[in-house]
Amino acid sequence: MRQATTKALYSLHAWCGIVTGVLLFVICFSGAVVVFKHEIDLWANPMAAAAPRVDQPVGFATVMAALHAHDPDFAVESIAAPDAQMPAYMVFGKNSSGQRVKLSARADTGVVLGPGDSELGQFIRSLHVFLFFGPRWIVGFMGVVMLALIVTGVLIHQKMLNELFTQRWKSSLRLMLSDAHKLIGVWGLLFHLLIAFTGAWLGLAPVFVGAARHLGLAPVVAQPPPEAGPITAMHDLDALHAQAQAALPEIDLRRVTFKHWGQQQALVTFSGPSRVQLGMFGRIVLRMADAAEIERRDPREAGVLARVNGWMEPLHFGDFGGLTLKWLYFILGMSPALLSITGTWLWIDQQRSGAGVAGTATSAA
Amino acid sequence: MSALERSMLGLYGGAWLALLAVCALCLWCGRTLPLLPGSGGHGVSLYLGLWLTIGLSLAAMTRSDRAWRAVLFASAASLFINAALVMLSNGVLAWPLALSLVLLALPCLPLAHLFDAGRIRKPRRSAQRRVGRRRKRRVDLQLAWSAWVVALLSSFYGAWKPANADVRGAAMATLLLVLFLALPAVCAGAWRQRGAAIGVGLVFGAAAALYQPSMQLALSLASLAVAATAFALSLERITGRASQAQC
Repeated sequence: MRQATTKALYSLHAWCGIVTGVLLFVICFSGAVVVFKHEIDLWANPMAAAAPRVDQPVGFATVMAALHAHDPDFAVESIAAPDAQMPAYMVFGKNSSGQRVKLSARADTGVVLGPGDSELGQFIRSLHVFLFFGPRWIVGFMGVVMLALIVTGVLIHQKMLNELFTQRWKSSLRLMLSDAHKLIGVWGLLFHLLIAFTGAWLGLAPVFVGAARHLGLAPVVAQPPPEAGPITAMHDLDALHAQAQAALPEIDLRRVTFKHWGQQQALVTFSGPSRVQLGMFGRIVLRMADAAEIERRDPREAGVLARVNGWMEPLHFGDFGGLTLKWLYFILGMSPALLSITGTWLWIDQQRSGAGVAGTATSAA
Repeated sequence: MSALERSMLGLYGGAWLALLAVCALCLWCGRTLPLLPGSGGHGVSLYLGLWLTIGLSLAAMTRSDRAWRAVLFASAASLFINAALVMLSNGVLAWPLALSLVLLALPCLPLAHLFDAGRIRKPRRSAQRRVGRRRKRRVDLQLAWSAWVVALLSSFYGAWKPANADVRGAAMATLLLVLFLALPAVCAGAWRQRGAAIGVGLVFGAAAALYQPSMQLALSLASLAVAATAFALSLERITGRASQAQC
């Protein structure tokens, strides 16, 4: 490669890394930890984790009745049925003072156990996905930046085979960190590409969909019907669940979400993962007043794009291969955070020593 | 240690140590410390406050080796404390989690010994002169970056906050233009100012056109095509310049 091109690529790599380094560091280390979100939730909520595990949990209707007996003003937003990790029902909603609360309920009786003990898992996820405040596009765009860093890094480091096994521990700190930067980058290359691409996809998908809808390239979702007063009659929740399960037999409809609760147009959404296809989710929306089907997403009818989209989250978070894979994801997930630190330190050292871009670019190539 | 190094070390070390501190507090306080804003928690303020405090404490250190060692020793200590708190909680998965935290803490200790003062080179005097020369910034590039930041902020706000789906859709399309066309164009401006500036101008023109609700798809695509062509031309100039330089 020409020296001028290498120099330009090196500048791009360095400046991308310096400008976004801290954000990437925060996103990467929180992402590595959030791989264990289910385990953290389970361990940080001992009361729910200690609840008895049963083969046949009571229905959603029993849990709803128990919730209203526990707190008549509690506004339920969603209920998650017990799964392989959590033996109790987890309920999300707002209490009488308007605060969002997570409650747990026994799987055998539906009796409310009380609020969750800790929100640590959700807190770390909120840091990784939303950086606490923003939409997830920021993190998605950081995925694109990471892709740019990987591509420029690969192009400027052309002796990759040598760098696979070079780590001079006893030389100067600069050489040691430079070796570590290249070593981590080369060994983790494929994983870094994977998480950068899937992260960019997951983060930026809503923006692309919104833009495509505006430009008329994607169908616009129908608006909900106008307010129609309080509901007079409502179908039994368990009967609605059975109807939904019959419509989507391959889907484990373990989550129920409510919309417009108490209104004539109240909707209930049953959703869950496919039992046969990795990463695929299905959902069905029913009207509570007359059990009419409003919307259905069936993975069996999904196109290629929907299937690819379905793989993104499992691939990004590594929750399809048990604890061993999660540990691998954790260790490899920490490596971009280390790359961010070592890269920043190398750049600072370069500024301090006055080596300039040209000298470093030449040595890097 | 330069101000830049100190601030960077504060930012990096503070982010990591603040998360460990929040975890320890969460383990210690349990349900009495709600974290998420939706449930009335102040976890975000707590985290940011700790980040700021720890970051400033690290940045206050004047010697690089000491600051690095402080980060690594504090990391190891925080991980050990978290492991002890996990064991005290005696909950599900307590043993494996505590063991994992200890295994993470152990490498921090030998790593801290690698940051020896003798291995960190001191700044050269000539470097300061070079930095002084570099401070001459190009006004056109600064203007391009300012325009890009304004476009980014306005489109970001438009795509995030308004309830109107049309406005959000237009702002999202503009945001994509700003991120994927304008940003590379402004970056390319560092090497070839005129071509990149034309590209940036046309991208902004297309973005402005997208903001019109009555804009037709064909016209939007035409604007995009013009902007993309301008950007390609600016890239061509850059590569042309590079090949001339090589000759």
